[in-house]
Amino acid sequence: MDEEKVIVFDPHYCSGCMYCMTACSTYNNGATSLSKSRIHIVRHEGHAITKMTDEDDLIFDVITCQQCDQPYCLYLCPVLAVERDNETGALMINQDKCVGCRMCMVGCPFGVILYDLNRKQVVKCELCGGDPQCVRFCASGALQFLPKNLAHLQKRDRLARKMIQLRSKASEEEPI
Amino acid sequence: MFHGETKIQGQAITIKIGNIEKQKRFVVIGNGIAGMSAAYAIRKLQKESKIKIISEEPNPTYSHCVLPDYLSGEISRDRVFVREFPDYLRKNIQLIKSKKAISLDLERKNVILQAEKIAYDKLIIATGSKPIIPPIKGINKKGVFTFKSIEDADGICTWEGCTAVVIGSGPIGIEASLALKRKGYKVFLIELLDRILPQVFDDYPASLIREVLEVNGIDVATQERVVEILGRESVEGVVSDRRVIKCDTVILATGMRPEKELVEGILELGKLGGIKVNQRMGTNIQDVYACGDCAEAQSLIDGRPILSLLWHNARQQGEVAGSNAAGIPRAYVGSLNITAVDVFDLKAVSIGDIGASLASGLDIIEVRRNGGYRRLVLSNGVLVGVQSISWDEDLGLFLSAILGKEKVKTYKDLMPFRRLPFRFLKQFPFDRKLQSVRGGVNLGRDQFF
Repeated sequence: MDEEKVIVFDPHYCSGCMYCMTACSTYNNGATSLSKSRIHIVRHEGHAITKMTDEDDLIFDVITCQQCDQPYCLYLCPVLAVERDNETGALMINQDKCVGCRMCMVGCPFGVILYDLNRKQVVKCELCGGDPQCVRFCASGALQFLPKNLAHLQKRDRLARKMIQLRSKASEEEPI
Repeated sequence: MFHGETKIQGQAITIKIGNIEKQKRFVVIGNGIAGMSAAYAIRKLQKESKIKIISEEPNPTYSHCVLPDYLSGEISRDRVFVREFPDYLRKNIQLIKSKKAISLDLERKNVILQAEKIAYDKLIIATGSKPIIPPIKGINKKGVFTFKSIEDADGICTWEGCTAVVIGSGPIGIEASLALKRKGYKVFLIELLDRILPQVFDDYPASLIREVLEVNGIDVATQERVVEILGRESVEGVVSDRRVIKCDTVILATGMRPEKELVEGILELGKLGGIKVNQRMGTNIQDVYACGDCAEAQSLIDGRPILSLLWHNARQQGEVAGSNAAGIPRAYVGSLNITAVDVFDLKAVSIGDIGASLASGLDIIEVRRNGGYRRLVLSNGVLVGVQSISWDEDLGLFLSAILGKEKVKTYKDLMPFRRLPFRFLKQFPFDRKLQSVRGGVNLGRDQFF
């Protein structure tokens, strides 16, 4: 299980180009349609930790399936169509079983399960079978696909950088 | 590590490695979703122990939730089953089918069947629930069905009728009448209380659902009591306190009650009639656990004991009971009502408690948007429930707010993000984008490390 990887997002690098959404919808639907993308970029302004200068007021965040440990979609599915893949650790929708009742959509706290009107079934991020296309096509390097035990390193590095910056700023203002 | 069995003077002893005990005999009574989940949870934690499931029914586990879809002909009969017989073999779980457990011998740790005894070390009771049969005259006639098991659905499928009276308008009653309507029946829905779906929706949302039902040709009557079922051998009509309806099929959907025949007088029962369990799904007897519809677990919202007859709660309870029986302590978070009903094009969802069930400190926020309706139920400022009619996006946010016991004042408190709209593409100042991201778009992450 140490091979299990997760999608890690760093808001500081994201430029909001939506390549990830384009890649996702193209790979999974065969046609580019941002509304059918399983990963979504949202914008919010001014982020306490990632904001370094005043110019950094537009910050993007990504909403995609978190592959939860205690997933409500898995418990709510009345036909056990939501299964966990043993290799990638992703929650998969078994299309042979899914009856399209949309109970999983009701339970998902992130709203990342989509309903496919053509197939009358739900679809969600399944990590593209272990090679997520959103990460592959991310232009700015904001999305990374890292093993679970390395996922926190980036955040730690970011905080350290921020602390150093703050400390140097403080020492300029009030020399000890 | 020490695996396997050591025999001393012909007696098998268990070897303890840490907390996990090996070579135990687990017996699960009931092959519904709770029992099946419990057996699978045990197998996940213990590869070698012996697991037996005793089932009254000859089928593998199936889903009661999609029986209406099978009845209406939308899905085939195979898709109702969530497991097949080879699945049990693959997991090395022995399924004893078509046999009923008659009683329990707690002292000698035996489950007594009609012809044999099965010894256990840990017992999990997941007998489920059975439909309430109301005391109505002439209830035993041909053409009167309950709607719980796959046999009931098979029976209704093969029954040749064209007019049906559905007694009771809970989720089962509504779904049964919708399925029969789709099958081409003329359907009358009769409810004793003052609104349909009385357990899961408040007055106004229930009236919206009722409107849609009536527009689509289902005759809905509330505050009406069925007095008698007419007919010689099979059903010919129904007499209520207001009228006489000619019909050939009657569906009883007046509710469910825990199946406790097996444990009555043996285990402690709760006030609501279920088996009393603690947070770890253990009963008052050691090594005996209960889960699913027959257990009376605590509510997630305020911790009071409730009977939850819902699929996802049963599944979670089953996993918790299995895990605790296998020696890995795990607590159950609590039961929460999540009900969704698809009424033609309208999707109605209810999460948590409804306003009518709360006595004091009740506050209600109503939101209407794009033809959809949403009703938030607050108890002392804390969100405890939401009902949503034909507006099913973002409902997960409300679920997580209920789980997190969030204090809410306005509807906007629950909307943390603005979704990226497509007009944003036009508005976006692209020069600023390049400046605002340090190092620009093309430098990539390697510049910083």
